[in-house]
Amino acid sequence: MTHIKAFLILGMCILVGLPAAGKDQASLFVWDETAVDSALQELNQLDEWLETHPGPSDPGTKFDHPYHPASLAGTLPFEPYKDFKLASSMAFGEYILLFWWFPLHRIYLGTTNQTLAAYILTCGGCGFITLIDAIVLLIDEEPQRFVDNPQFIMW
Amino acid sequence: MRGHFIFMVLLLAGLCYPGTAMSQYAYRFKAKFTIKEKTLQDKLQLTKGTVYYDKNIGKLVYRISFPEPATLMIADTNYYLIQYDSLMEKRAVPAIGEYTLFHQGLSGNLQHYGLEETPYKIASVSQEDDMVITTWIPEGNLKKLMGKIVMSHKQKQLYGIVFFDKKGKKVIRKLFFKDYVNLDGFIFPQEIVQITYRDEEEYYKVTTFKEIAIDDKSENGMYDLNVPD
Repeated sequence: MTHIKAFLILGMCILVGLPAAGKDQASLFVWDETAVDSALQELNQLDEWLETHPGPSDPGTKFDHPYHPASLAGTLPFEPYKDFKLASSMAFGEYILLFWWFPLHRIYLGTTNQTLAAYILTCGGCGFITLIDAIVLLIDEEPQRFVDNPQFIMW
Repeated sequence: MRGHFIFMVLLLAGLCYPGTAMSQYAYRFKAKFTIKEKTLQDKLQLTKGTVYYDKNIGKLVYRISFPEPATLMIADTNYYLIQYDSLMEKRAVPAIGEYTLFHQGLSGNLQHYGLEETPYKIASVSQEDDMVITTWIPEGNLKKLMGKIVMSHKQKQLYGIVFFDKKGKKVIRKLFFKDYVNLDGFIFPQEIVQITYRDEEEYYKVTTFKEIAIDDKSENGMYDLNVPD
């Protein structure tokens, strides 16, 4: 009789315990979607911005010009940059102050050795040509035409 | 005679039904991907690009467009980093091709995350609410390295995977698969959420796939990419 009671109690425990064990397993799959969204909010904003400002059409090759927003990505944090022209103009301002005599932008864009030599010899046209280059690069609608431009005055 | 003819037509129609045919013979996967990640170093990281995988060739190619252009390729046991048409890095890695989500999806093994082909064995199966929960335990030498894995399915689709430490007590990682798309029988999640637990902290990685295409033939070269010298 004692054995039967023990058996019944054990059976009841198993019956009560099994669904509880199942619940434990199910609770493993509960997760806070809002916490994930909140942690990645800034990335979501950046992603949205990138969707409307696509990168180069052929990402395996060099960018069309050095001020493409994607080329600034490494210099900017994850927060979305509102206007890449503003960011690039700031970067370019620093460049002009420090290296106004050196035609780094022409090397990057591509030009002939003669043009580079002329820039170095004339200190970038006494700095004026470099300055105008910078302004033109920032405001020109078709900066693509400055790539591999052999002219001393590229504009 | 007429009955036989109708039977043959129905049989042929059944064999040619695209849902069946495509799911059996899909061999290429292409999609635009976005990875948003809060890393263990507490950094936020965004990666965007296109992924290409051909089950028969076995090369996994990630063409990254953001944050900087690069092509990553894993072929056999080699990893290649290609930038500006030059090979920047090459190193040996484990052959992961067959264990990727893409290979499992193309092979129709995604439902069990490919665990059937590993030394993991099913220990228990239970039904809870709208989920079927399966517990997998490692066998043999794998026991010393890996812990149990608990997997859940909703409407016969893989919903979540929970990885435990080797003692089986602590959750180390959770994966959730959302927004499934069905492309002529090829079923694949469009969003994967990974939660990693370390030192009482949670780290997140959300991978999304857009414009998923199977058996794409428009970019043949990307599936069998040659490594530049």
